[in-house]
Amino acid sequence: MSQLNNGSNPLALADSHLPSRPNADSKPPTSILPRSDTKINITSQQISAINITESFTAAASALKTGQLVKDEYFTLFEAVGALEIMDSKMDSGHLAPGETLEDEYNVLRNLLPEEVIGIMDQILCHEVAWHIGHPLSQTLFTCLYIERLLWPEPRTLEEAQFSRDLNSRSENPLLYRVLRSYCIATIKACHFVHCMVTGESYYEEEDFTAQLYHRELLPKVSVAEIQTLLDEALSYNDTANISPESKKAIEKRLQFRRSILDALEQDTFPLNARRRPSLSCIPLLQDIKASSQLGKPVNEAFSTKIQRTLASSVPPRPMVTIKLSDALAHFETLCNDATDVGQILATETSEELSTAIWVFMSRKPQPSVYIRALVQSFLLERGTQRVLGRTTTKHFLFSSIAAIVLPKSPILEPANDMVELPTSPQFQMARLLAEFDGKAGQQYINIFRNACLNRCRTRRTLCHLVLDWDTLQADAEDIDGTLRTYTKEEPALYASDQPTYSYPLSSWVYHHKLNHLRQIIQMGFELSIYAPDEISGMYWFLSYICATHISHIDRISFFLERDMHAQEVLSQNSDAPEKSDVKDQADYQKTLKSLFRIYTHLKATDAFSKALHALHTLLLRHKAIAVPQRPYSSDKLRYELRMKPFLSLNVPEPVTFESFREESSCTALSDEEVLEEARMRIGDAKKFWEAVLKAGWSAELVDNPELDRSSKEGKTGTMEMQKGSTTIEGEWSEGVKNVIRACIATSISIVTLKKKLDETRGLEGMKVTFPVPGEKGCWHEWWIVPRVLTVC
Amino acid sequence: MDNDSAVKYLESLLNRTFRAHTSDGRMFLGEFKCTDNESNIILAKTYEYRMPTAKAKQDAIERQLAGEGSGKADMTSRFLGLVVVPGQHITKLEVEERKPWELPLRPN
Repeated sequence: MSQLNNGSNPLALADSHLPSRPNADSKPPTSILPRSDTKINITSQQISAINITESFTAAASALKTGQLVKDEYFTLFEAVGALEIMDSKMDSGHLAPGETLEDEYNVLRNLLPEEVIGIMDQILCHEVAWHIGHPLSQTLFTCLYIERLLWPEPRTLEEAQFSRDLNSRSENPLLYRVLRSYCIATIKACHFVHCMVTGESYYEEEDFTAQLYHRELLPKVSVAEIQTLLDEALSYNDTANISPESKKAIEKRLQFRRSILDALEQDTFPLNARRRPSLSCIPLLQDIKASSQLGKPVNEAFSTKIQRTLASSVPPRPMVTIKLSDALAHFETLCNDATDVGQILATETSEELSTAIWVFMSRKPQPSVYIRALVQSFLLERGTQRVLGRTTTKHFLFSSIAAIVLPKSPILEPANDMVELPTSPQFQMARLLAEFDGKAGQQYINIFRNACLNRCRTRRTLCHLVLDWDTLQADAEDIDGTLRTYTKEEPALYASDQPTYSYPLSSWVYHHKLNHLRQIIQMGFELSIYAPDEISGMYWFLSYICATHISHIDRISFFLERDMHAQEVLSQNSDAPEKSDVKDQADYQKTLKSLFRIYTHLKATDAFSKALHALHTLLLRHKAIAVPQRPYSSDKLRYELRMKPFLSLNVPEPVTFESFREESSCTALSDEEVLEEARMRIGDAKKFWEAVLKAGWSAELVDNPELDRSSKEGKTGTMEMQKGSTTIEGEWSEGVKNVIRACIATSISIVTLKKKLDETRGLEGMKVTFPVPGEKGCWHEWWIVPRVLTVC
Repeated sequence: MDNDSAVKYLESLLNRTFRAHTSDGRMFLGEFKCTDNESNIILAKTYEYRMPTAKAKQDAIERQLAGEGSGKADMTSRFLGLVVVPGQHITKLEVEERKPWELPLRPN
């Protein structure tokens, strides 16, 4: 008798089957009792069951209507999530009268080659449906062939058969060689996808459903074994007596499995042990598409009845079907994206990496959850804990600080780490920097990982991150203060009469925090978070953040230039200028150039947002933007809600509602003045954006355009670029060009409005539309440009 | 039974492991959390047990006749989590009792 334990260990129980004894022991088999008379025999040495049916029913009926007896920690809120047994909508195990638990479909029947092709393509569709977020119970696990292979759980590859009973095994090689190897390779591919996604940050049900229902996707079977199966199937297919078209179709499908399995396995290897990504899957996908007409779908081989046997706390749900052409397109994008990930990996500085990830993740449609997990796995390689498999997080952090605030400083001197004398300033500086790394190292990596989430989550998480960076800034200021006792920094006069210090670490933190704030606002436009009448105010706030950021960059530059000149004077005074002094000056110049790039970008964003603020304000004034009735809210409450991520920050100081209203509504300015402001700003914006485009996507290019461009091309050349896949650099330029197009569209709207206002002083007869991201006429998703048309 | 003693009795059963048999022949094993006056019960961490299918039973009998097995067929089980079993569908209700290790086993 098997022991019945009380459910504390789900896995243990899923395996233990309670025995029941049909009365075959005592009765002749001719008189098998009907099901209701079958005796259930559950006994155990440790547990006994007491029948309480009558006493329980009697006690329950003594309760008053509406009275509950419940565990004090059990809430009715939880109860809402309970599945109602015997309700066909809720209870996946409920059988309609006359319905059987198992499907009638015979998985061992002989299949035609066309049916095999049809089933393979159906499986592929289900696999993709799972990739894009549907649960296995509604996709791949509905396939009866896959179910047979996976349950009961096979201990070896040999056990994964359509029938474990040796006597009833199919002799049809199309089934046991071709279809079986295809199914097994699919399952293993799903295993790799599952491991990759669940190993990184993702959102259950938003991005992906990881639930396996206590099944396993052949985790222990090696890829080599499966490749052997596929090879056997391929060689059988070569000699099989079937039509040449079907033969070719089957061959391509098996080869696709082979190649995708290989590619997915590569992604699990350490970064330095990977082969170059292969694009061999893509032509195979086209072959599959071309031969899909040959296939004959077998719908009976897929059933949602499987949900009755899966461990699941969800009601029964319908099968998800997607079109084969969509499924193939998904795989094609996946393969292209996976190749382009190589370009992210090839970036050298943290600035380049950040730009590359942002451009890549802004692709529409966004790269799939597998690819996003893959990028996360690069960012911090699991085994080595190294960024891009190359540098430690500490080095990555320090090189970013060096690139923006401290090109040459005793603080970041690597030799400091070697000093072991506690009284030495070097030792103390190394200690303080290690403390800063402890606080900021992980946070800094998180910025990059955060960009790999789905777009809504990226914005939402930024709102949380920015609070952490606010705290980090205060900590960094303390560390900066202590560092000064070792660097003996002299104060300087900057922007006030009070002498002040450079605060390098907190300046670096503040720079990133302001970046986050800008991204939060801009992604709000991308995700259509703001109501039409809020857009004007949000562009005002964006320009406020940009202006704050510009003055911060100016402050950093001021102290850098001071240090650079001090260094210069020092080396001029020394008798023999050394080579290292020349290099130091070059480092300062490089950092100043980087800052100038950031400055240009901010100026461009600032000017464009000022122009759009003015334009939207004017349209609001003339009621060209509909303001909905909001009887239960006030402008102030809505403002607080909108500014929630920003109001609790120490710096930049939160803007009060009163000053926001005054500044953003431009009450003091006439229509002409507002329009003139818009016209001037948009002219500036276009110039600045053109400068951004000219400066290129990477600071390295600015330093040595000739050399760098050719080496970059060399790099992409080795990445087997092919038609259809684009470079991230190209996408970056296209993005900036789109912003310039949006600037031009804004100018046109301004001119049209000006003409109209000069003539009639009103906007009667004008039609104003606001193309939102995704609509035609929206050039760039961060810039909502009104289109003004004269209606005749 | 008056209301007070009914509540007292039912409360004494809270969090015990129940086996609720339903009219369609399934059994649900889980921790008793809540009930009302229609004997609807809520069970947490529930497993569903299902009788072997007709075919599985037939196979078991055939195996036994062929002298290969004991004529037993396994019940199938799966984890469901939190469920509510409506009182009207309950055919039998049992509470599990764990015997202390120290005591010698009594004959049933």
